[in-house]
Amino acid sequence: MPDASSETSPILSGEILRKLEQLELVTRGRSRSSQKGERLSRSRGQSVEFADYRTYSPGDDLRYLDWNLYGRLDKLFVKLYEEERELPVRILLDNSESMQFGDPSKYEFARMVAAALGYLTLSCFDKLSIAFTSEEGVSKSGIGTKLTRPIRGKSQALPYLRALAGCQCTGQGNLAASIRSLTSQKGAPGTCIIISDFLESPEFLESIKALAGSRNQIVLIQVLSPQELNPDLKGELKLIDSESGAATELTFGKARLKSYLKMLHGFFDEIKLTASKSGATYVRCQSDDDLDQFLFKRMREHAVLG
Amino acid sequence: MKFLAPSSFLFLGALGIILLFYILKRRRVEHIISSTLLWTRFLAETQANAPFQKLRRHLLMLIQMLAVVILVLALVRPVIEGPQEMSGLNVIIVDASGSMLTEDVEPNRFSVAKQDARNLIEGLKPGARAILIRMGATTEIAQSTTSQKSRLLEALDAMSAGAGPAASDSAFQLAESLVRNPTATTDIEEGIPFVPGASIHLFSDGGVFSLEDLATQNLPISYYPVGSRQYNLAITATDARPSALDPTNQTLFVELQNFSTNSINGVLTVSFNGQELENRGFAIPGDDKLQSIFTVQQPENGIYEIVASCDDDLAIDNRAWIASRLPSPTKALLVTPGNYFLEKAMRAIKGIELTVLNSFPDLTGNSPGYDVIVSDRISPPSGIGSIPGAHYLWINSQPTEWFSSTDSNEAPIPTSANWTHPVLRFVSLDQLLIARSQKVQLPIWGSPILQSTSSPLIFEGELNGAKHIWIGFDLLESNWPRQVSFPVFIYNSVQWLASKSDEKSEINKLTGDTLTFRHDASSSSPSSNQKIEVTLPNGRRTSFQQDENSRLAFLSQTEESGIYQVTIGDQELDIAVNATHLSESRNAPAPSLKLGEVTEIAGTRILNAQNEIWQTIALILLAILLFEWWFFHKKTV
Repeated sequence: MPDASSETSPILSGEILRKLEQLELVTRGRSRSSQKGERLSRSRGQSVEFADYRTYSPGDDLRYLDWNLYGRLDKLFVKLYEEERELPVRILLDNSESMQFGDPSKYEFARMVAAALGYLTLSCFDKLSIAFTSEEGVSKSGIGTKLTRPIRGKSQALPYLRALAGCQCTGQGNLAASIRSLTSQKGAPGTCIIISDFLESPEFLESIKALAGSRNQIVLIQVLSPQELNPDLKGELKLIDSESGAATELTFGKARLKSYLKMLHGFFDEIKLTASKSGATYVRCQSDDDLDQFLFKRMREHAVLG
Repeated sequence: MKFLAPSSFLFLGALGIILLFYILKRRRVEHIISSTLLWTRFLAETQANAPFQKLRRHLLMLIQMLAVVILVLALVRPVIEGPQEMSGLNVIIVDASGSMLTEDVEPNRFSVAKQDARNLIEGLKPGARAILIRMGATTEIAQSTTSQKSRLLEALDAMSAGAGPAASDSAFQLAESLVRNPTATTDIEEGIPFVPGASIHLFSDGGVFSLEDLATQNLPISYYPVGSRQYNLAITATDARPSALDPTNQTLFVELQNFSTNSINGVLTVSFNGQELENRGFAIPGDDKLQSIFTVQQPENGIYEIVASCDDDLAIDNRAWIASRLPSPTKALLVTPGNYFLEKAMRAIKGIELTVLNSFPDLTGNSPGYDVIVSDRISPPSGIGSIPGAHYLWINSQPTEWFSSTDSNEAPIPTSANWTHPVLRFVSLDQLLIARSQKVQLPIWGSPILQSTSSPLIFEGELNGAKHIWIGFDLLESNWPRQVSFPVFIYNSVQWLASKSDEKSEINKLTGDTLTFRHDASSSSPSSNQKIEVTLPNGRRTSFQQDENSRLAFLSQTEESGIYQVTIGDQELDIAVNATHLSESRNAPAPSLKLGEVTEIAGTRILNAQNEIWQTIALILLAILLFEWWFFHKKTV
């Protein structure tokens, strides 16, 4: 089986991959998946973790009889063990045109985060599926459904990373619709990781609430560029939206920077509030952040990784 | 609807300027960004989305509020007090006479009048024209018509007051000619038509004007009086007369007059050639006079200086000078074939050195100069009339070709006489009978003294600097020599011709008078083109050439009182010029200007007009708007 950490990764360094193998995604509940895995679930089954006893019934496997109890109580009891199931992890990566901006590009950083979390998922033998907000970027990359169908096992890590590296960031995305599609996906609920700049209409906040309602654990990772957090624009400006092409004319300078920052933090608070109400974890990062620091410190601080 | 300042519609042009600023297309820099979401939210938050919001300190708001306040301030049309603005043609007359040196106002009336005139000039509207006239002893145009305030103010600053009287007649004649509209017809009732908008501004203390002729002309005069009181003592008359027995024994006569209502004390000092002779204290009650007589010894020709030291407001009339010359004998030449009565009458004149000849001697060489030449029935040789310094009494003779044709009148009867003439003083011609006389035409330079019905019998005149008395009949063919009036006439004639009576008046003048210089007969140089130098009392020198055709020269710049030292060739002469003008010493400020008996122009001040300042406010408002535009579209970005 090829090991991504020992081979050349197109996105992540081998050191990061090795460090990732020591972590796993933190889940608050038990897995509701029907597929076997390494996550504890509410189901009883075969594992090493003792769960309970029950009275023997004819037909039960005699290997699970507790003979010690029979000796003391003269009754037959069958030992029950917790069933270990896989965790469905769904990553929604924003690959719309707006992610292309920033120095370094927001998409580059978001893709590295997606790669890391995906690798981590596969390493933990969980089910990983990834979705994109812009179909155009996926189709242009020629990957097709190879990347979007669920994958399992560490053996899929390298193909996953390669496919992700070939995925382009282009076209107009619809974050709200993409989240809604996550909600409507069949299968057991799991962990949904949404990596985006969230520079969309507030409609996506409602979609997050709906996603949370379907018992999914949600992680919102907002990636913004330094230029968006502290714009150095000034003068008479005509700002053109990279996705929609819509133009906004305004006059901006140092005197209005304070108002801009105030508005920006109001926008963050809105997302944070929605995340809080939805039981989601909200993590904000900059595209020039150190990936190592982000993954192994801040993500752990936010109890996303453990 | 009436607009006080329709020219202000020009301010509408400012709308174009503002419009221009707003139609100028802003050059926006295009930026492609990830998403305009944040910026749309930013714009939405910075725009008002509620009826009210918390009042914040905002410069734009302050500027707009200030603009509104200024606009309202302009709309209420505020006015400020300031000089009334004059337009049209303004004839500005500044009184520069002696009384304007009165120091009853600080520093003196003339300076105050100049300041008032300055205020008027500075208040001239743009385009208004003005002419500046100095009304001193003579009328001078200090600055011709101009609309340049700087030139007017410069001329005004250079103007100074003299010690002479005010030549008000000529000043107002000049002003009237300037404001008269030459194209309009005169209406008797309306008076003289004037240039529209023209006005005459007189800055004076009123003085004494003889402006009766202006009473009916409705001149557009504005009178700006200066002065506050009359507190002046003046030397109003001086004279020095030699004693009949001893000419070196002089009697000085000085008259002081107090023109104020309060008593004035002081000291009267008399000096001769700088040496103090006597001083006396005086105390003159209000509106009173004091005559003082000083008897002094005068060893030589010289100058008496009389100073009345007191604390009054006008100093120029507290000092006077008398140029006094000791009498000298008159050299007279009688040329006659024999006339007992005439010779007897001339020898009876005291102080005369008479030479009697029966024909004219050669007078062009080194002959002694004669003051008076009397020619009795003897025609003179050609050119006799050009002897310097000599004056002539012609009796039945024709010295030159004065007359185009001569005839005779039989038994002419005197019909009229100029009794005011000095030669007829104490002369009675009632019993005069004349057998015949010459029938001549009175020359243009002559003035009749005695006339018959058809011809002058006696006339006098001045020709080429020489005085002439011409008698047109033979004395021996009349009964005049046997009458008492004859020696009196001869005495008067010799005195008049010898200029003894004029000498004192020629060397004692008043400020504003014209100084006349003539060659003395004893002058060695017969040159007719001499240089005359005059040292003025202030030390300034002036010189000019004597007229080639005349032995006379004139100096009219006598507005300063004091001693004028004159040098003509090798002759030196001191002339005393005094500021003893009653019109100037009586310096009560006149609150109104009287033109004749009826017309009176009330004094006024430079009116403080209520000048509107909304134009200035409008400019400030415009500047604020421009600043606002610049600041919020350029500076803040």
